[in-house]
Amino acid sequence: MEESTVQSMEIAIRGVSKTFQDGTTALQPIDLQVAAGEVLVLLGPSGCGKSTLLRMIAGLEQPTAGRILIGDRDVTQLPPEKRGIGFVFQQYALFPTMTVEENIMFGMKLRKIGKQEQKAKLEELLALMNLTELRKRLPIQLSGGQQQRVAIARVLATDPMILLMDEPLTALDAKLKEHLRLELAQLFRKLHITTVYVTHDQTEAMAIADRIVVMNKGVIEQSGTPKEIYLKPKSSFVAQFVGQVNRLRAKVKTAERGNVLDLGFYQLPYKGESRAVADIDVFLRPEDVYLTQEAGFSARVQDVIFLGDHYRVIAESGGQKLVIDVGNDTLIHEGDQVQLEIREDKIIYA
Amino acid sequence: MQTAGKALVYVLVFLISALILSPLLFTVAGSFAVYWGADMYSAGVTLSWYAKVFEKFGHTIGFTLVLAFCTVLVNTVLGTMAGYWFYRWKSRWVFVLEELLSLPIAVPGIAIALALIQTYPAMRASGALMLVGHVIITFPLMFRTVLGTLRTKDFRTLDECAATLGAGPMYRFFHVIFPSIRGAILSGAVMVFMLSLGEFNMNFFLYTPLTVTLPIGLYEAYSTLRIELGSAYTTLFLAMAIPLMYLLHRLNQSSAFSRNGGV
Repeated sequence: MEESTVQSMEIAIRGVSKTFQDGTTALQPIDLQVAAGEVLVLLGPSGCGKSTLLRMIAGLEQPTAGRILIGDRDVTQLPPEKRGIGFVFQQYALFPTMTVEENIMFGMKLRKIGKQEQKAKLEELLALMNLTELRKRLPIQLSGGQQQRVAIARVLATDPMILLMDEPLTALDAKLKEHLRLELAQLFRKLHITTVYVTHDQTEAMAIADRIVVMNKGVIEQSGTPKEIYLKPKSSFVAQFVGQVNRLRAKVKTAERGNVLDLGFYQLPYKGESRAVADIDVFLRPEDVYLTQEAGFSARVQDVIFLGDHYRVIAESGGQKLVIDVGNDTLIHEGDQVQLEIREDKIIYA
Repeated sequence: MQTAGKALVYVLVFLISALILSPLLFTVAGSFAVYWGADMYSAGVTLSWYAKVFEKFGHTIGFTLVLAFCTVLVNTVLGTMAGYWFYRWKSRWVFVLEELLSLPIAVPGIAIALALIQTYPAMRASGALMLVGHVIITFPLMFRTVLGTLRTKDFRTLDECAATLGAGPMYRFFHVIFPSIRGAILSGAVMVFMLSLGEFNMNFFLYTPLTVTLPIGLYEAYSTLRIELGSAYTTLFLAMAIPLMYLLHRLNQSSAFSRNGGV
């Protein structure tokens, strides 16, 4: 695969914005650079502008302002067919009248490649995507997962300079999604092709991304590696959108040994940016609260949900609700009084 | 009780069918009578009326077929193009224009014919005006069928997908969209053909001695000649229309999409 892949390209988005005809602003002016070979995930809730941005890179949507460059080439005015891109759609968009083979060959036929080479490439892709057995089938005879694999093979057949994927796994059921997610992550690593991947699923984003860009209401909230996004969210939106999180009301108080974070039911050393006495919100992941014998604070168990590999426990202390995860071998019941401790260096001040 | 109910339904269906079909059956039967009086075959059976039809009206059949073919040809191109264009066009004005273009279905043929004569008098003699008229009144059938089929599935995504794979607009239409709507275009074409074949209203105002169509000839045969001749003429007409009806039915049952599945 590597030797036939075209040199992957970087993507530059310069001051791109989009306002639709009806006046709604989908995207505020955005600057974004995608490095050659990087897998960038645009993550955000529906309506945040991530798909619009992706469609503008593809040329399926025209930006209201700004420029888009693929490599050194300004493609802002080019139609999709002249951009040298590959686009995977959420609904697969396989051509219903063509077989698996014909679908994969579609883009190849439009390029000046020899018949021999085309055939070789087809075989290679059928093998790569595990489709050899299904080559003569029509799309309607395939399952959702198979259809999406055909869609990916069809895109790779054209040796795109960049790969754009619009929620490619959203239409699949949970188990299959997990399986294909792993396959995709491996594929990206193998291909080293610049990829922009849109999803609203943070687990998917984590598994696939070199870098995640979290978007909300048409602006970029944060850009960073999956670890940075999860462990050091820069805004309350990012903290709450990526992963499970507890939002706690707190007071910052001055004390003898520096500032203290007062949660009402518990006090901890304050480690946020220096500030005067104030009411703030802090965030805490369920896995950063744990059961303990001594110290800590006491809480009352309101609900216990069995999730297989762990229990999700909803506890209450000092009028604040805390969601915590504990091992599935823990003896814990509704109404129990428990002692909890917080990993204080994991508190998120966003 | 249930069987009685069923029987009643059958009787009703039979009665309605008989009501609709018997005039046609009588006409067909009458076309073989030497003299169709109170007793249909009292004077014997003959095929001579058919010979007379070909002798007197043979040219009208040919002209009607040519006219219908030309109408189909023009509307297949126009209707498909318009349908595709409307499907891709994102504007609220689409619906207004769509209704306007479908207006010929609601406007009486006479009105269209008179309007055409007043607007393009020069085109009347050659019969071109007749073609224009037929194209106008049958256009909505093709246009609506194509547009309707396009709207049932997400062709926009298929079109976008083909574009991202490097296909230009023409290639996309002929290789992606067209194969999927071929069935709709065909059934639209058959409807256009049948409507053009049977159009009387407008023809009656637009025809010249050189451009007599089948329904006009039929009218003439019934009004000025023998009823048996008219019946033979009608039978020939039915013989052309019924296979087309059947074809249309088949096409609607197995449109390209029910066979190949959706997006």
